[in-house]
Amino acid sequence: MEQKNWLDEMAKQALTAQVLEMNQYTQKYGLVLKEEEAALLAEVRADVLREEKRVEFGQSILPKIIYAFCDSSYIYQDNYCESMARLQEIFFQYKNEMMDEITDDELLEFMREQFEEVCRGDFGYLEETCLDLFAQAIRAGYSDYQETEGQGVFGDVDIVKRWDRGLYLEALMDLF
Amino acid sequence: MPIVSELAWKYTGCDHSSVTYEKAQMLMATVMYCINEDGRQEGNALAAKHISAREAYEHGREIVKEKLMKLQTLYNELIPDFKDYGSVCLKDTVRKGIPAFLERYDFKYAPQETLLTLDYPILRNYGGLSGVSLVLCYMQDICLEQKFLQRMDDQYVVKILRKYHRDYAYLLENICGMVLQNMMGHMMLDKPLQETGFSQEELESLEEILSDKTVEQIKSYLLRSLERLTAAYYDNDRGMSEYLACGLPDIAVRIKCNMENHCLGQLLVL
Repeated sequence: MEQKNWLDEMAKQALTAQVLEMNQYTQKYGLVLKEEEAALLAEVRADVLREEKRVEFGQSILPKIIYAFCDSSYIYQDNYCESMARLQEIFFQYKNEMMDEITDDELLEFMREQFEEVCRGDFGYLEETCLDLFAQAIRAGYSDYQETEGQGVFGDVDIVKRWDRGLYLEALMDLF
Repeated sequence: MPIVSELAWKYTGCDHSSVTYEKAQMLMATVMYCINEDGRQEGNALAAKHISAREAYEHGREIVKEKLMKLQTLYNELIPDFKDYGSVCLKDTVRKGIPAFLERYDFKYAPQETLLTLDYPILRNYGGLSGVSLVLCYMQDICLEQKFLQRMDDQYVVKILRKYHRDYAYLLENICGMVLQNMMGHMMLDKPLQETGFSQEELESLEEILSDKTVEQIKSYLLRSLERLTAAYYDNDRGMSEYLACGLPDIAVRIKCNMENHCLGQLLVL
């Protein structure tokens, strides 16, 4: 029989209660988590921490993630729980990828800004492009983000070639 | 756990809510190290339930801090008269290693880290120790070695070392042990230390004295000789005789082997 760690269980219960309290704040954005969803998020947190080999001693990052993303245009009641679970995974993954060089607040600020303005709600693009480029830059010693606490810095590290009007027109001319 | 949690919070400058397993393990080892330090000094008051884990940790941390200060003082006292007698390993360990340790040692978040490999081998083994406790004990033994060697003329010491091995300067061996080995020869033969060199007759007579003795018996014989040596030249310094006694088992084995091959002259060089 699987033996449950009582410390883990206590932490999950405390986090569930904390997340449910956040409903008071998020309901003005039309976002509310049920008890089983809050418990699921606490479970996901424990799994992700284990997977990423990290430990949270005091306050969990989950309430902060909820606070940072609850006003997003791309998160609504139907995808709320799933989105928070996904954001937790991405957050801890990139804490490791950035070798703890960046603070929680800076990383959250960067993630929120990219999610809204560059990724347009696409978690895949946030994880595999924006954060990946940013993590590479951080590991290479980039530190200008500290001045703005992670705001408006993606342009510095973005090397992805996107929409090119000239190229588009050229391709259009070829078609006709 | 609450202590580790507080430590993690301070360690991350209150900017990170989580740490990696490696960091958490390091911080846990920090707390355990301080509690053990307290236990070592107070006879394990925590286990006897006299104090809480937090008290034991905080008291242990104070002990670590005091040891660091003591190490600094000891180093400052030692260094003006420090002599390496040409041993590169001893010189590097003391003159470069210890200052680097004092500069980089982190008593708050990583007191268990020894940082140095302490390449110069001393006679005593401190297998269970690490961090400042190990380095302090190591330095105290280096001080005893210096006291032992500085009672003799520098040239005399260097001569013994050179006779032991032409390139002794690059050996990773304890120089005090080399000199002690030679002095034991004098003491066992009741030959004054001022008289240098061993004649063939003297070596043969020593072989005769020790011929029917086991390694253990030779060791006891050496121990008695060592006590006479420290009584005569070092004011019966108990600390020193205890330290030098750690080198006797090796000397006893070497004497036994060389006696069996009739080449004691290779050990007793001057």
